[in-house]
Amino acid sequence: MEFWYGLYGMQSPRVYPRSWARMYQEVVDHAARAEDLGYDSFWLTEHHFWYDGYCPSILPVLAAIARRTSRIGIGTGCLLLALHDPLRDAEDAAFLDVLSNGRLILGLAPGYRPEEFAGLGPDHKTKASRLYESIEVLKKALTQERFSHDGKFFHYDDVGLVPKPLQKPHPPIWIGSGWSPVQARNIGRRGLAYWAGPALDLESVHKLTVEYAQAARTAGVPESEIKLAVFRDVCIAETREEALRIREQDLLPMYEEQYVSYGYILDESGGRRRDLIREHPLFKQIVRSFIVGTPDQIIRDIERYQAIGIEFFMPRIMLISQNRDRILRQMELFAREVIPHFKH
Amino acid sequence: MRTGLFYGWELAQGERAVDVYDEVLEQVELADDIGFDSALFGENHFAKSSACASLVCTLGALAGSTKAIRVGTGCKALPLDNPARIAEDYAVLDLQLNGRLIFGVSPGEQEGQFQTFGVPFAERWERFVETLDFVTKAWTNDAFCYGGRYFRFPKDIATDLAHPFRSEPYAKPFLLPWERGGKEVKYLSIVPKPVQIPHPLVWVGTNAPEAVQFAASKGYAILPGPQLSRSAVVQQYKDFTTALNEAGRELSEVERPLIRDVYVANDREQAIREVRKQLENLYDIYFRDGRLSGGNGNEVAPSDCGFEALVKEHAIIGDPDQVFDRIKLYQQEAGINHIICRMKFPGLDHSKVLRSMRLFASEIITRLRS
Repeated sequence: MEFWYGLYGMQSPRVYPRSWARMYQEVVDHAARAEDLGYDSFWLTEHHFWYDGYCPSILPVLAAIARRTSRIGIGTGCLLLALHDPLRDAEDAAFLDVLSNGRLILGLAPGYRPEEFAGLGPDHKTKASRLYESIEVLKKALTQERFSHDGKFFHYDDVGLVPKPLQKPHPPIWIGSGWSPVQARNIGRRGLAYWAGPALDLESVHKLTVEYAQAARTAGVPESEIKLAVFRDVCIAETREEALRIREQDLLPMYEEQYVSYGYILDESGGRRRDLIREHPLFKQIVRSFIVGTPDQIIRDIERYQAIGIEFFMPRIMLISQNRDRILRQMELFAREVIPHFKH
Repeated sequence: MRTGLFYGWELAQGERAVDVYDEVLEQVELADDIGFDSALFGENHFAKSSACASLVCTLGALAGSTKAIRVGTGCKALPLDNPARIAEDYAVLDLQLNGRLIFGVSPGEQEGQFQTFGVPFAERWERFVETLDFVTKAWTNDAFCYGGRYFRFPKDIATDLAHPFRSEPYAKPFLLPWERGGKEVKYLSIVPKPVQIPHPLVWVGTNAPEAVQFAASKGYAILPGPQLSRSAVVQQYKDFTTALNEAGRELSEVERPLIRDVYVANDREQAIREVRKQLENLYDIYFRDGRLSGGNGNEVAPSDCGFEALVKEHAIIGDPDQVFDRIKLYQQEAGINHIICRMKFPGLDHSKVLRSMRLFASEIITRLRS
């Protein structure tokens, strides 16, 4: 099993305000630490126009990490490709792959917040078809000496990307997806690797991964191309009491903040009563998805994900409300006690 | 006088793009250690004759590996990108660099790139002005909308050429930033904001005829390139001074950079011997592309003027004393206070570049500072 470390959003939310500049220095140190501890890759995540400064531009940050590390993979989780010009992303990605000596992993997603589409231009309604056409452009640009493309959204005539990526034919591509079985099937049918939705319990993830794998097999996708990843919020400590305390103090306030602020969880009158959120069915589902406890308990939980075919697991130890010392302590504990159990 | 480095990413025949990236990053990391003040990078796309490094990733990489040196674009062709993404990218970079970003901008000059990205080349100056207006407003305001001729933000806003920028008006009840998600949007805020206040330094690449007047009217620096002859540089700073004065500003209020090709060796003959071929090749490319300007604005073929004239008008080549004197001459004649050296010529050996840089740092930088 591979262990990914992330997802850094570089946010300064009201429940835990801090300096953006300092965070951008520290993320490079965290990546170097993750490399020392034996994680396989380090991931950032992208959003736009959100008051807390959610990182809108992750590739230059990964470039800083690439220059300061030598082994660890660097991942986009996810690059919101449907909001971008795919040719520009191809240029940046190819250069970053060369710069990192072939360590780039491309997690791609369509994006979902309506504000982002309004600000950056693409039509929200066509995001899925735009994503898949963008992936086609991206693959052509990264692999062909020169390419042309005449699609619904993009037109290019005889373009040759310089440089080409170091990894052949191109860096690994993962598609990040939400909670929709339709999306899971689409990703499978296209033979792409599947990064299953956030904040779902094991049973719900399993339903999606079955849909994905069935669609892939029906489409004749080779077994080696059928790949599954998840990320789960993890609170790890020497005692269960301490792990629960981390969940209460660091993790829950951030979810309360984010899901109410984004407008996902509203009270009956459409208002934002944060005091009611814990009774909301969606919030209860989110809390069920957390993996909380001692290393032994966490190993048992991850084994259940392994049993349903998950080979790539990201413990999201850092969520943005957490204080730095606690993040680093959990990051070390997980690396020391959990990862070796899955590496043979 | 400050000192910097410039990289245009030109490749010599047989030189591979993937080989020069590490060399360039090492050079800038050394420059950071030995006292250079800045390093700027040009933008290129889809050209076999260029290493075409990603600007944002080059600057990002250096943010992780340098401490004091300012780094930036020289120049970013603004019309080729979504303006909102430019504002976001370079705000993030200024944060990564802790305020060390120099944002050099230009309208772009290579028509083929405009075709590839689907941007009309003829509109490049107007698009440049609008994009720079958008980006600087985005960096210095909270929620706003922008109804430009070429770019609307959010996209459904109407074009309003008289007042493209509108700050969000006060409304009751006042909604806190974290109460605004998932609503119909008329105003958006570009975040995070850069470190530098009011925003990162803006330098205007001066190939376009309108650029000197424009930069003066905004109080931005100009950035004359290596293809301008010495007399053209002097003239450009003269015009710039006049334009600044007309706008009620003084030359001393802005940075006065200049890019030159520079190579230092222990003696002049050695210096010329080591870089003559590379420099002539480089200037032949400029000439072929019609980008070489002589003193009267006419184009002069390097083969017509010979290497001596090239050295007289463009490049600064020689022993430490000669290079120092020539830079002082530019200071006296044009009033520059920041010499930005292209030291890596296409095909020039990495070790020679490093030697030239070290010699420049030990023999010239301190004297220029005093």
